[in-house]
Amino acid sequence: MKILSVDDDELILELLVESLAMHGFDDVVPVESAQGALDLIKALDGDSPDQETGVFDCFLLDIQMPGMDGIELCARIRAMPAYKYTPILMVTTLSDRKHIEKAFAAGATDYITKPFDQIEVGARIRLANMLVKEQRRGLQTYFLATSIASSSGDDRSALFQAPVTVEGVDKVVDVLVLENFLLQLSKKGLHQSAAIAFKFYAAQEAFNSHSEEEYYNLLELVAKIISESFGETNFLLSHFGCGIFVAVIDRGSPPIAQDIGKKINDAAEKAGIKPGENWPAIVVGDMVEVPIERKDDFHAMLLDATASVAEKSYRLGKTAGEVNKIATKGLKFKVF
Amino acid sequence: MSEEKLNSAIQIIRGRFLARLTEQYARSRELAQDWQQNECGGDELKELCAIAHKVAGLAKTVGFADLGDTAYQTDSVIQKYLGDSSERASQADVAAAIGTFLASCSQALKSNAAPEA
Repeated sequence: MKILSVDDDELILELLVESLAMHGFDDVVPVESAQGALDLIKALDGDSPDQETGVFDCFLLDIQMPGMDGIELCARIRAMPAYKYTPILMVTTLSDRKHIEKAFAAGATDYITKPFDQIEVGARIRLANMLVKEQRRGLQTYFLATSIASSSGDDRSALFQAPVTVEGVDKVVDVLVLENFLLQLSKKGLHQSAAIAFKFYAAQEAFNSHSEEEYYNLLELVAKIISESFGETNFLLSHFGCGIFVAVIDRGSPPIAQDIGKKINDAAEKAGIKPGENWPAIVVGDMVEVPIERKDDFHAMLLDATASVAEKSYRLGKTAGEVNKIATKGLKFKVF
Repeated sequence: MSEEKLNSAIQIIRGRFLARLTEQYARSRELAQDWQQNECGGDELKELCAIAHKVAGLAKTVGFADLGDTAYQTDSVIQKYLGDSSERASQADVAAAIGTFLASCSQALKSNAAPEA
């Protein structure tokens, strides 16, 4: 595995090189600036913007560096097609929520705080590598399996439940990345977090009546509409399957608009997603906080948020018993 | 690479960390003095913050746990004072943090023969 490690402190770089060698990662390239890293990537990978594989298999990035910081570097690397799924781990002294959230929103896979444990860093690289493989396999399997199912006429309902990653929308991340983000926050307590779920109400019908690509594009559109409705609020959003999205919100940032449901549904209608006779196009659940008695249990927060949107959908008279069952099943088996 | 080799590499890095800390300590004292004499002092504080940040990233790993904690605190307090954080810190908080940081640097340099327990 070829690793590019970027840090403006040459001693940290040396320490990383030595620590990683102990874990069998003996091909680590140290670079002392973000611009230096970009120049090196360009020199080794060439200018071809469409190539599918790059020279590096993993990136370790410091955040606070003179000139371009590690978060911008992360976003730039992630935007390169060759590194769309490559693990990017932030290795930084900064442990506040603002930087953690920005890093994950920019495409980071994981976040390690300095001073780092020499044993932990190797394990985290292996985990990040597994995570992106899973992420990539999930998306490929989704398109492959939906394609096979549609041509053979098989039941596609299992695919509908898959928490397929919606890509290319601001602050929308893979479910597994959202989990890593919450793990980081839980180390500091989750007191400032809340979750809110959204259900694309006619998702099942849309899935049944559209091709896999059309349905994916629809999910992308719904994700974009939800993402844009948050305004100044800090958040990360993931698709959990079944057309259900969950946002984790920073309660320390400006609050979400009280009429967020109306905003979202107005935008959905403008975009051509029509509501039903008695239901909105996108159902908005209640804002859920971590229960006081389980203050480190972010799973409970996510489950409560999805249960809330499932219950609201049920009240709207649809097949919400099924929605609830599917949402819970998705959480238990697909995410955690 | 074996754990023994890693430990030996860490000892070498520790020596270089201490050599650098000597310079960082001298520069931090100058900056602290300038900041106390200069009412604005934003540039001095930014440089002090960068030094503390750099020390915080490595000190604990090379055997200076207290210095690492103090440097981290100093970095955080200065950032809060300069408005780079949602929380705020007062000038007195900054002065106290810098004082503790300088004392901690001095102590680490004096006891450079052996790592802290």
